[in-house]
Amino acid sequence: MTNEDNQSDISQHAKQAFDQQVESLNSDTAQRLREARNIALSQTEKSVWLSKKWLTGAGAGLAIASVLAFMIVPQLTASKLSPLEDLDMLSADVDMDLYTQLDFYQWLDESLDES
Amino acid sequence: MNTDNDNTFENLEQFLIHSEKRAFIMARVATRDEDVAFDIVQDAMIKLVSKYSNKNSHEWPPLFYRIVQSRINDWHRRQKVRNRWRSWLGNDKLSTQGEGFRDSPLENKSNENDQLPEDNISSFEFSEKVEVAVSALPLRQQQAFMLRAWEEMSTKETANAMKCSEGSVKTHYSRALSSLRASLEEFSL
Repeated sequence: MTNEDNQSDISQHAKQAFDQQVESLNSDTAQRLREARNIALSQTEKSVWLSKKWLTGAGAGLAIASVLAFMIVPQLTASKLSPLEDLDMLSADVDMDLYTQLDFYQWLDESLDES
Repeated sequence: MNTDNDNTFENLEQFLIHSEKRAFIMARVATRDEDVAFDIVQDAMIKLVSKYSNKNSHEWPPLFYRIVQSRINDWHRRQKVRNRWRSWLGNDKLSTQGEGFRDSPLENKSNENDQLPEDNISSFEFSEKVEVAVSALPLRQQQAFMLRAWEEMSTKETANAMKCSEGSVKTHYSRALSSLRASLEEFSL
């Protein structure tokens, strides 16, 4: 028998021996392994469920954002004043007395009319 | 299991059913501790399912055994550190191997059977002898032998599972065979 034959023989015998070990595993160990497998497999069910949930959430979010965009954008575009004009007004050096003492100016106006 | 996109739940389950006991034996041989072996297989199954279940099914065996071998290596590293601390603390009588194995029926039986003549030895006893002989090999030789001889992986697949070069696999495997030939000489293999 050559060295290679001998080595191949050892591998073959070892393979058979380990196959036999697998077959003769006690039922407790087999049961524990079965439970471990079920726990592991539940991970994939959970991850699929989570990815589905995430996709559903993302889809709902996108739908809400689209609706809001369709409702708000036309209002913004319909406004008579452009954002540039708003900015112009805000930055203008206007006398704020008119706005803070509006009642007084209204009374003054009426008094002048009467006179 | 060699077609594309066959990574179905059923195929994954079948793969684990086929591999769980084999991986358990492999880890038991490497750690000599059934509880540790069980933990290693459980971890490996969870990692395979959670990280690689989307891969093609023909990629599962090398990935799974790579995880198993990686866990075994981690366990051995932790054992080395633990044993170093134990020896520093003056408790160097503790075994370097898994503690559970000292009480395992496998070892007790192998001691009882040491004097059995080869003609009387049953195939079951022989398989235990082989397990003891393989578990006595250095870890890397053991891994190379189990993957090449038992799992019938190619040198390339084994190298991938062991995270080493193909040349190293050949060396470890060849040394493992020589050692086993010597330790199982009584059976005239």
